[in-house]
Parts: sequence; C-alpha cells; structure tokens
Amino acid sequence: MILYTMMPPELIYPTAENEFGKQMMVQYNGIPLLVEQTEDNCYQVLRVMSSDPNHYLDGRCCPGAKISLLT
Amino acid sequence: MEHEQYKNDSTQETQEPGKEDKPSSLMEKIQQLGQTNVPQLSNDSKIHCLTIIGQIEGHLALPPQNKTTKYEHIIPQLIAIEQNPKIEGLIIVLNTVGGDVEAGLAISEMLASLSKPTVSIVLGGGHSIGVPIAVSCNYSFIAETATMTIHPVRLTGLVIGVPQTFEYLDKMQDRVINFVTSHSNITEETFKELMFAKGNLTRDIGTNVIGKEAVENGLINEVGGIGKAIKKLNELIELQKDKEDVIIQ
Repeated sequence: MILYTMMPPELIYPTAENEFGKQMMVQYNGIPLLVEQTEDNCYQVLRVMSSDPNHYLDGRCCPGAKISLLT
Repeated sequence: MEHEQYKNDSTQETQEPGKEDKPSSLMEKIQQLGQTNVPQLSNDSKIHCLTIIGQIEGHLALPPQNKTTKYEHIIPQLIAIEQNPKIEGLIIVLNTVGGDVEAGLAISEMLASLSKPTVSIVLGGGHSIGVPIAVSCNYSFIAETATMTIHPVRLTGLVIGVPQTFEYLDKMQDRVINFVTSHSNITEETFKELMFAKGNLTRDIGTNVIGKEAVENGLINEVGGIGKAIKKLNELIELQKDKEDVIIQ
C-alpha cells in the first residue's frame, strides 16, 4: 500500500504509549542523560544532554554504556 | 578470557541489578563502546557546546526513534549558561533538517540575546528553521560541504483552509525573514529571491545553498570547521573581556 499524503507519518500511525515511556531523562553524577530501560533492569545511555564538553569525556556514561540507577 | 565469560554466564541469574555499576571488564567495555578509554580534561571548560541535531521539536512529541532537539532541553541550558560566570563562550553545532518554526525561532531569539560570545557552525545541514539558528550567533561558520535549504514556511496537515490561515502563515514567514536579515549580512531581496527561486528543488520552490554559496550570499560569515570556530570564539571572549575591563575603569 502506498499512501500519498502530506500528513506527517506520526499523525497517520500514532506511536504506542509505551514507546514514549521507555526513554527518560536522568541525572547521573550530575550529568543529564537520556536513557532507555533495557530488559535486564539496567539503563542504556542514548544521549548525553549536557552542554559541558567535559561530560562527553566521561567514560562511565558514553552513549551505549549500561548504567544502574539503583545505587 | 573465554573461561571467565563462561563463568559469568552461569551466574547471570543470581546477579544483582546493582552489579552493573562496578568497573566493567575490558571485554564489556569494548562491546559497549568499541574503545577502552577516553582522554580526561582536568579543569572546567570555559567553552560550552550545544548541539542542534535532527528535527526541532515543537508542540507534538515525536516518536522516540526520531532524533530531536527539544526546546525544553535547550532553553534551560541556555539560561544556565548565561548565569554561570565560569562559562565564557558558547559554540553551537548544527546538523538539522529543520522543524517547528516557533520552537526554532524561540531558540534563535534566546541565542541572539545571550550576553556571552557565541559562534555557530553548520556541519552537514542547517535546513529551513536551522537558518535563523545559525545566523543568531555572533559569528557563524559553515563547513565546505554543508548545505542549507531556504524555502517558504510550509505546513503539513491539520490546516483550516480559510484566508486567515494564509495570512497567518505569511506573517510567520515575515518573522523568519526579519530575523535572518537583521542577524546576518544578507539583504531581504536576496533572501526572498533564494526562498522563492524555481527549478532548484525538485517540485518545490526554494534554494539549497552549499558552503561557499551561503557565505557569498551573506548568510554565513565564513567557511570553516571546528578549529576556526574555536579560534574565533576565543578571540570574541578576549574582546568581551577587554570591553568589561574598560567599563570597570
């Protein structure tokens, strides 16, 4: 099926509510991070949201790193 | 190494969730990052960096698979940067396809009114509403291969088709034009000419300016990369310091 429309795809195919719930913003050692919950109750870093270049050099929270927020 | 891996697998079920926090093994680090260590800076950086990437998100939250710049993230960061005396300059890195006009203009206005020196650099693309964001800084750079699409304000879906809608869109476009012409060297005529040019974009009006062309049209100050941008920002910081010293004396 081809849809010829100028409507943005997200208006035609609404995203499931739980898709939005997966991602969240957290502070990890004072660094704002966008994380996604993984199956094993850990959080995987998706994006570093800080404007401080030093935060991007912190190996513990590089995008892709798994962190635990239970401490 | 193989033996260790085997042991880990067998104990996985009893592993506590907090265990991930421990310094991970070399193997795990390579799996996660593709690298083992990164350089560390010792002192606080006086230059902060903001990235405007993906789509500029407006009132509608985009699905998580979209890469977005959210104004509710950017604006508090700009306020924090303005307030923090340790931060002396800001560099904006753009690689955006555009997005919400009002969110984009809000970010541009915030950047333009910042009292600290700002330098923007367009890498890859700074399309549609990325143009006002790029020109809002004190000095702007564009990479040689980077492009900027200039086109009229468009809406996708959800429009009430009455003459007032068109007028509203027209006024919105005027706000973009006014902002760009007052914050860059481009004249209104040239900008409108680029905006309504025919035959440049497939089945659409507008122009795609690449690196040098953006500079020739007066939209961007200079062609250059990160090195030039940081150098310029340091120069602007020095100038700002000199100005403050004069005021104190």
